[in-house]
Amino acid sequence: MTAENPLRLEYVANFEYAYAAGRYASRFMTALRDEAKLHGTRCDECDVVLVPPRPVCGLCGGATSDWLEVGPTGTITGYTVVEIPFIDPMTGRERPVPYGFAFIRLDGADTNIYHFLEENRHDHLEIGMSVEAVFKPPDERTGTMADIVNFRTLQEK
Amino acid sequence: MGRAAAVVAVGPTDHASRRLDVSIPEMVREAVDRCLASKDLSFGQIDAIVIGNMELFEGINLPELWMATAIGAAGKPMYKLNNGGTVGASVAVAADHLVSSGLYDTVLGIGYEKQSEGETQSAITTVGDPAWERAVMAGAIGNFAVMASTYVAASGVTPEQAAQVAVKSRRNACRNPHAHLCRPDITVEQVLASRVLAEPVRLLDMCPSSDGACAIVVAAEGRAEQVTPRPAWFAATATAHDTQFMGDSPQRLARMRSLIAASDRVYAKAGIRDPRQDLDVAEIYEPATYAELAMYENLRLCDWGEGGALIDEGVTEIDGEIPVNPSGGVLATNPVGATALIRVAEAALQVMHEAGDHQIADADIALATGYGGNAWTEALILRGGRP
Amino acid sequence: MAQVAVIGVGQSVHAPERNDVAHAELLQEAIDEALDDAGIELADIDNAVTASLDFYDGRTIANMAVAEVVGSYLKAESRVCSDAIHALTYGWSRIADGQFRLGLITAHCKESEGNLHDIENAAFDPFIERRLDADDDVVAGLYARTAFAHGAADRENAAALVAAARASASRNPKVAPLEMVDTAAVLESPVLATPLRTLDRAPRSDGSCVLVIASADTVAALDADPVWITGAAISTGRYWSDRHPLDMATLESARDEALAMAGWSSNVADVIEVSAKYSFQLQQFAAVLGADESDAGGAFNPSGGRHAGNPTVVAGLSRVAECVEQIRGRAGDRQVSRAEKAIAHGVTGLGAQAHAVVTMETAA
Repeated sequence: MTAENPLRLEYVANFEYAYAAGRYASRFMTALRDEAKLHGTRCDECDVVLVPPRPVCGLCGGATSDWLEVGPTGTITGYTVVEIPFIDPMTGRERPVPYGFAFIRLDGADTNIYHFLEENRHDHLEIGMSVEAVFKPPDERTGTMADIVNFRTLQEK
Repeated sequence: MGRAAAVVAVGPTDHASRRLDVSIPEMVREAVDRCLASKDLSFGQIDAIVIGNMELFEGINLPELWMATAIGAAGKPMYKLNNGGTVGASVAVAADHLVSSGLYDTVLGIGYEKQSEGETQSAITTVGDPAWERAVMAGAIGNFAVMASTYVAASGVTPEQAAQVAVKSRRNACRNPHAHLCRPDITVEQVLASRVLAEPVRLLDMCPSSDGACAIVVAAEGRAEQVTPRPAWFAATATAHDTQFMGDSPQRLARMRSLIAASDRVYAKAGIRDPRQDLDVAEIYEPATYAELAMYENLRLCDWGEGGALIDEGVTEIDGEIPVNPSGGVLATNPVGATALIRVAEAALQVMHEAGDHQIADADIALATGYGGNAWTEALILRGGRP
Repeated sequence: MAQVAVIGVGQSVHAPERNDVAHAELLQEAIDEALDDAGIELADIDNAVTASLDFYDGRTIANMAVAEVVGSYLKAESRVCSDAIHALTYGWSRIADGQFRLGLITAHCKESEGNLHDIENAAFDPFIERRLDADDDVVAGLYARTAFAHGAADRENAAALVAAARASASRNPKVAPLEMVDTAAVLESPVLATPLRTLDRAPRSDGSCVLVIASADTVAALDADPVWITGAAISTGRYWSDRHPLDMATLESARDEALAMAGWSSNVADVIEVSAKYSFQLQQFAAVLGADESDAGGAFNPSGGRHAGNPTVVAGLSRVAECVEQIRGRAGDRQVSRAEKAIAHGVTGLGAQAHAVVTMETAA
């Protein structure tokens, strides 16, 4: 049996959460907000420096008791310029395109973080370029990754 | 060791961007009915059900319980899995364990997604860690484009080579009556002229978003041969994860740590020394053209940096030395919760010699993979004939 | 049947709000304790089955967050979205078929982070029922009315079980202290959904629970202290509005299959740990599982059960953990004498749609 005029039932749900950031994110975000400083944790067993910091080294299962400062400079390890609109989960609205988006390996870290680039011209970017975090002014920082506006390239292609 | 287990029946739904003609339970039941009918099985012969889906995509909590009555599952054990894109393959792996352990003789595996019924793109943004990633996301495509850039840099693969994958997929899909995107006349030029989504990824480089479901029946040795003369035996399965954050893996597509580990394990267990020679067909989970080329290298179908050359030489075409995704693959059909189960189902159909117009002649050994979460892999080797 | 044993258990402290830790950190507390208990390192594990629900964790594919703490880098983790006894049953099969030898079964949930009403409402049929804005409490009220009217549960005795659970909680170091109440206080607490009162519902809770399970060979090699899983069964009932409130066929089926697998001709358990979110269900399920209400806090729910405070998903595995500790004689002030065989129960869904039953004993 097939319905001749199948119906669609609209339903809008709004789910609200208040996530506990936990011990590691709380410490990292507090330093970002108050001092514009970035940190990673070093694995006690295999020495890898992990950003974001976390309680366990996934690679070897070791504990990560040592906190150290990383960045705010780093290197592009992968990049794109996004030209398709996408709904920003933080605002519920489409983020204006185009914008640069990249893997950044912060100096002193062994892992990458994703973040936005100030540069949005694809042919002005390449893997290996040096970048630096651009922080929001102190009074606008709230303790989230958005306290970093984006990363600025420090050299010309 | 446990008993041998095999895929004995397969049921795909039809796929479309919007299956407005069916509700979610009706769509799931379409896959189940086709699967059971293909081998004259009844629901009463099923001992347990494993079902995969990402419930936030459709916005229904505990969806397997909601549809239990509607799909006829009430009274049976049901296991609901959610492992991202890999989940369909996780369903097949679970069905193998549940049967080979002796817990059940016959298990029904289901994967489904009705992506048109929820804001999948906004739900998928909640994949980002709320503390670390959610404020700085660019969607699945932006994320994927950055990964592709690492592979382009490492291998020198060209947009033309990626475009050939798009062409292969959509042409193969025309041989598969259940595929979503069939484009018999698609050309490399058309792919290269399609809209840039995020450099280097163009619209036709990406998988579609589909509504659909897939079902398989897995049965124990003894039972399996009664259902079908040529079951698809599980020769090896392996699951490997990467770490928590998307930026953790140093080279992403260029060196896919979980795919290397999982494929190493299944090759060793199934006695495969040279996958390009020893495998008859592969159904891999390629979310985009660049990923398929990278996966050729990571699966050791060729040397590092040779992924582009492999498509240039036609090695992975349906009439090539090692056909990859003769069904059209993920680039042609992508209902996320079902997508990896479709890979397993297609690999099974190949070694059961029931793949119709996209059958690879005399296929005995097939590889299937699932990919999802943060670069997780499920890998399976299915073998026709005797366990 | 193949031999699979629990060789380590661990739990976080379960409390109404663990806002000091993120999900992975909450789970890590239980993992560290379970690994210590088993005398192994995280790197020794060859697989994991995790249990969690995306709606509670507030993210899709929520097991991504626990990848490192469960040690799944390049290893086999899979994730079950039900009460964690479902995950234990699947995990059992992964070792029973010889493909793995040493695994973690993990469960975590924070009921404090999302809006429970909205999360529960999202489990209703989206076409007809969801717009009625109901939640678990509404189903429980409808079911409880029938259960009380037909004598399948008793209003006063159900309230007495809540009081007993809270008394047991005071002997359970893994749950945050709860206010002591008597039967009258339960019956006089604010209305939840008639005829149920607020205290009839298990308290909101954040917590985690972890088991280390192992093959017989591994148990021997590690010289571990095993409790053998001899039966494991799950059963899914009809959707809540398709089912009669007095219909216990689903639980009966899970019980019968688990007992048959264990080779128990009748229920010979010394300890029975029953999972129920509402007091009247505790009476109904206890009757099916052969627990005597007069033993509440003793052989029946010595841990206090879910009314002592365990969250969704985790509750069933906490029942298993208690049984393991009882059989090993390590249950402290709660210890039941001569505990050699035990039954643990878990439940999932609106109106307790899916049930899971596990049998455990000292010798396989």
